[in-house]
Amino acid sequence: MGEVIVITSGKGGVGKTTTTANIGTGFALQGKKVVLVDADIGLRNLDVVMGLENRIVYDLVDVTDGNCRLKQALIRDKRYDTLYLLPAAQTRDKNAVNPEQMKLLCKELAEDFDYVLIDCPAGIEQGFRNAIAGADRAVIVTTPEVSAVRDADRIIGLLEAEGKHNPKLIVNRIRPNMVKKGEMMDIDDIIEILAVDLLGIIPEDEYIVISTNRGEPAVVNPASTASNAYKNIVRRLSGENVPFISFESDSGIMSRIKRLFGFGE
Amino acid sequence: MREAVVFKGVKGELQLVLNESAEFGDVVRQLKEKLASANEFFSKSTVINLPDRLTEEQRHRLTGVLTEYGLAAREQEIDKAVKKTEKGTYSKAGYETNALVVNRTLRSGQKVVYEGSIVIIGDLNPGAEVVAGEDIIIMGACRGLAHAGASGNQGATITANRIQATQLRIAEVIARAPDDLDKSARIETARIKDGYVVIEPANR
Repeated sequence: MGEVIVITSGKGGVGKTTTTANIGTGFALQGKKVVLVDADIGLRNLDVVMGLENRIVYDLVDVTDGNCRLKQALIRDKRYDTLYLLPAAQTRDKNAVNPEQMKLLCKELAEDFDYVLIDCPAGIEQGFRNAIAGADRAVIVTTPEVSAVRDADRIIGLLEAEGKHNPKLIVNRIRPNMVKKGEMMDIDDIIEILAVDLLGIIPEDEYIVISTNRGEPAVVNPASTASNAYKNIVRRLSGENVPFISFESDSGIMSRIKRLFGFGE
Repeated sequence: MREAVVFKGVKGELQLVLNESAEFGDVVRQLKEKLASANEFFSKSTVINLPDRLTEEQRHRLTGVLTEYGLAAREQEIDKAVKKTEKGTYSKAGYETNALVVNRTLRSGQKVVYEGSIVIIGDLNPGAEVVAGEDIIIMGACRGLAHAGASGNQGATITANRIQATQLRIAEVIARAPDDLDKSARIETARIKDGYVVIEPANR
């Protein structure tokens, strides 16, 4: 029985879809059998980021409506044999599915896959409730901006109300030099407010734009600075104890991050 | 005539929905008429959820009408998760209080309302609200909206390990934090002095 993980944030544009694509591909690199579910019905992107748009025949709503079998709607990735995508419907909206149907769908997928990753839409309405319904764990993505952190806080509260405790946090698009100058929130500030476990820190990386447009997740490119961060996240998610940046360290977190990513001394 | 009040089924519960533009007097009159004509329809002590955003007096009157017809009213405002876990009084040997103890951090969008004092063991995060009839004590950081003495008690106070709120309210006085608020490391209390909210070290 596999594990169902929802990737959510509240705020839009913080990198849920990119994170889903990269974590999923990262699992596939490890040889795990993984399926990505795009729960953003009506605004689907995950297929584009994965470069699989032209292969869509059936979608998630076709499955829940009974127009096709689940297996028919799954698209196998063009690079990795153990990676699959269940695309969202583009011509419908969030109300085309309900949380009960999503629970059943996740359960069915978890029987066949090691990991089921759900790309949650922005917002806290029906689409969010659908996306989290079948999840065993939640990963919250935020950026170092007060607006994104505020929304992440709201999401953590809503997850708790649904009985989903201890979500893990990914801080995306951090810019070490800006943090050093005090122009950007640092990890400590964010953790202090959200009070959840950190799963990973992803540096701002221009290559993400290129990889998204190309439909090829950045994690496969060792030249991308974000790639290493995604790989560490994947290892932590699969239970490995990857040494983490120490927050008590005298040398300060930023210099350590810089060392980690190969800037500075 | 437009309907000033309707009953709506929400998640298997009954919710009272008011027309926002209707006079409150019409709301009460229509509610009475509806209940009188549909007395057979509701079984005794059916729970009716009240709308949020009611004044104390409006809530009181609606509750009164519903009780008259043998129905139970329930407030909507208190956060679902809070409602389940913390309700009622907190007492230990040698120490008794009628305060509501909230044993967790209140996050953005969560709201706790209580007529007595409220003790929060955790933080009050930005975007969260706590409204108390008496004092508010936060064993953590106060970053959200705290309103003490909400029913007019000018003597109410707000105490927190760190007061970092953008706005504090005590009774009808609203105080906005200075734009360059320093992070305080001490336990502080906010109270009304000469019509203004002042923050000073606790136990002054």
